Amino acid sequence: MANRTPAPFVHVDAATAENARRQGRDPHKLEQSSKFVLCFLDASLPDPPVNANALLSALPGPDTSGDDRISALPFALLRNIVSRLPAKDAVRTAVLSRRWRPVWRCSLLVFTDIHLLPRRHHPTRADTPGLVAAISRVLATHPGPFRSVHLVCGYLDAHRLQLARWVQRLADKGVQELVLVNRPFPLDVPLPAALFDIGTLTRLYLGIWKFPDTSALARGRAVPFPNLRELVLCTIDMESRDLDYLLASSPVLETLGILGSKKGVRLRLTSQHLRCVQISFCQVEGIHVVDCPNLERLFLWGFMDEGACGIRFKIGHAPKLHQLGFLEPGVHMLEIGNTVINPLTNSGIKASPSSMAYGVKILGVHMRFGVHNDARMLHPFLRCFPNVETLHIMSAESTEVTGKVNLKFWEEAGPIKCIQGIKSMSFCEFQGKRSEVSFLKFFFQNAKALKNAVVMVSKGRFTSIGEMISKVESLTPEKWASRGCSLLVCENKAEGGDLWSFRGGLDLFVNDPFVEVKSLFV
Amino acid sequence: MAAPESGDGNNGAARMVTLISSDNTRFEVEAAAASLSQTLQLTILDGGGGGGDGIPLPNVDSATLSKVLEYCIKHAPAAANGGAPNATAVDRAELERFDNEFVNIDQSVLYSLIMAAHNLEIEGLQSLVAKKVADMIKGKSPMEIRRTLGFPDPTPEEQAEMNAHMLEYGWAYE
Repeated sequence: MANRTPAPFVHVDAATAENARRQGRDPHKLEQSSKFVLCFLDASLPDPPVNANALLSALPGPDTSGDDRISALPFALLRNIVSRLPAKDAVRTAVLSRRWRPVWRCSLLVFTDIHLLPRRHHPTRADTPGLVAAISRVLATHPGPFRSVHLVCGYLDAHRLQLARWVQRLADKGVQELVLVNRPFPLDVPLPAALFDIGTLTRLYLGIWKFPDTSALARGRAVPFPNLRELVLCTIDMESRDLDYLLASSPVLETLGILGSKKGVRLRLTSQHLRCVQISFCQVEGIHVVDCPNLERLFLWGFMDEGACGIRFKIGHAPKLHQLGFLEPGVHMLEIGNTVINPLTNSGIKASPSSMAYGVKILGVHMRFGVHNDARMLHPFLRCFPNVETLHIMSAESTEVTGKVNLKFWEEAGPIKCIQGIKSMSFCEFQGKRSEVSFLKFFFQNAKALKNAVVMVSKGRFTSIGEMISKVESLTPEKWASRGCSLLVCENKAEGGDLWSFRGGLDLFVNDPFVEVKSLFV
Repeated sequence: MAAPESGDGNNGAARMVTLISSDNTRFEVEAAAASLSQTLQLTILDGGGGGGDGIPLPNVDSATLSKVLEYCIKHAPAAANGGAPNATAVDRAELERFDNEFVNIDQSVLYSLIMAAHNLEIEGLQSLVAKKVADMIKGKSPMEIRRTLGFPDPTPEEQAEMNAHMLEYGWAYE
């Protein structure tokens, strides 16, 4: 290590590196993990409001008639055109002619700082001073209103004063869509509390901030975010009470995403409008859907607390919930109606009609088949979801093998009505273990309505196609329950299973975000 | 936003309406497609455009109207289900491909289309043509934009203004 110069840090600053070293941690590892987190965060953010590339690419040649008809368009149409341009292009239209001069200033501001940097350039700390100056200038020059502002490239720790001015300006100009990200390090740059003055927000994405202490905010005034429909928090350092306050401040919220949190997430959801909740890479302490009459999808994935047990997952009134996952039968204490299915006590084996989630059509479960207790809990879990049509199983590797999980084990547990109605099944991260094979065999023998099955083999698990084929043959039963079912076997593209798309989970246009091999189930 | 109920939804055959261009060409088209135009929708809901009457469109010539209707017919099915979750990724990709091809036209046609989309209030088409013009401007210097849009050469006064702007908004020219 001494005779090799490590790559210079992009994210880790001197203080953070020093601090890590003092605690006996390798700052390079910190740099690596920051890179991964940022990469995932960038991929999870919404597209910039305007695209710098000309997508409608087949351009007509220059107009040689010398008669510029576009400029003759009504002013409102010129504004519409300019509000679809990246900031630099938009500003440049002001010099085209007298007619164009006022257009940018009179258009709704649509602005992303990505377009201030060269294309495909990863923002560095050295870019920030220039960037901050240009952002300040755009926000100060444009008289508003602001429709959409994305500020995602700055290392803003040293620019807190400007940051506070921006947030105030965004509040004054009534921005509707805001994406505000601070690049690390440090991770705890305070987000200005003036955020709560932006009552016009309809969409808000925040990344890598220390959330303001909401107990210090003046209470009793009007609801801070009466229009907010989409809220996504990425790696935000915040207390439970702040999250509760934020949710209570957003009465018409439809979409909630929480991506990465250091502190445990405990959610209690009561909302007339909420349709989609997604929680990823978080330490989850408990989720209670109290009363969400319009909730359609609830996703948890990327667990940070491997091996934790008894996380309470309670579903109260959610009649429209039709996509749910990934539940972990060995870890989650599932509570529906007045029935509790508890992996610790193995209680609640009999599901009563009041304790079934009838609406759930697409279900994801995360299973350690080699762990006897996980396998034993799968039955009572599945019984709670009698109308599932699509089952997605994510198989997790387990070191401990506790007790035999073979075909007899599954048969003795008896038939499950839910399995008989399943039309599509995917099994991800198949490793060819006996416990997995026996479950799949049992499944194929009982799934009468099955049309499509996909088994995705863990990357690099089999060295040859021959080995894979013989393994697959071992899991197909002599007697299939369903006639005309297709079984497709393929390899996972990435180690540990392909990454779930956070954006896909939030996109209500995506019919089934669990499906990685999308075209198969269309 | 609920789609208006078409009272004769059970009739099997779709209701047709007739549109008449400024040069007196008659176009017969499904009411659902024509209703992508907010302006026409009101008339159609009032029962207009059927039979031998037809709806006159004095601001739109036949070449432009036929182009506009091509767009409306392609987009009508997706608009009918409100762009709802029923639309698959495949459908969306197909519409995108169509749109891209659709605006591959010369500037005089583009201009007429912009005006027609505006007058007829066809939201999707309005944003598609505006996007097209924006794409013609992106990444170009003021001189290049002027050339693309067919401006005459700048007067010395305009040239001086351009230079002053470049000084003032240096960041926009980097």
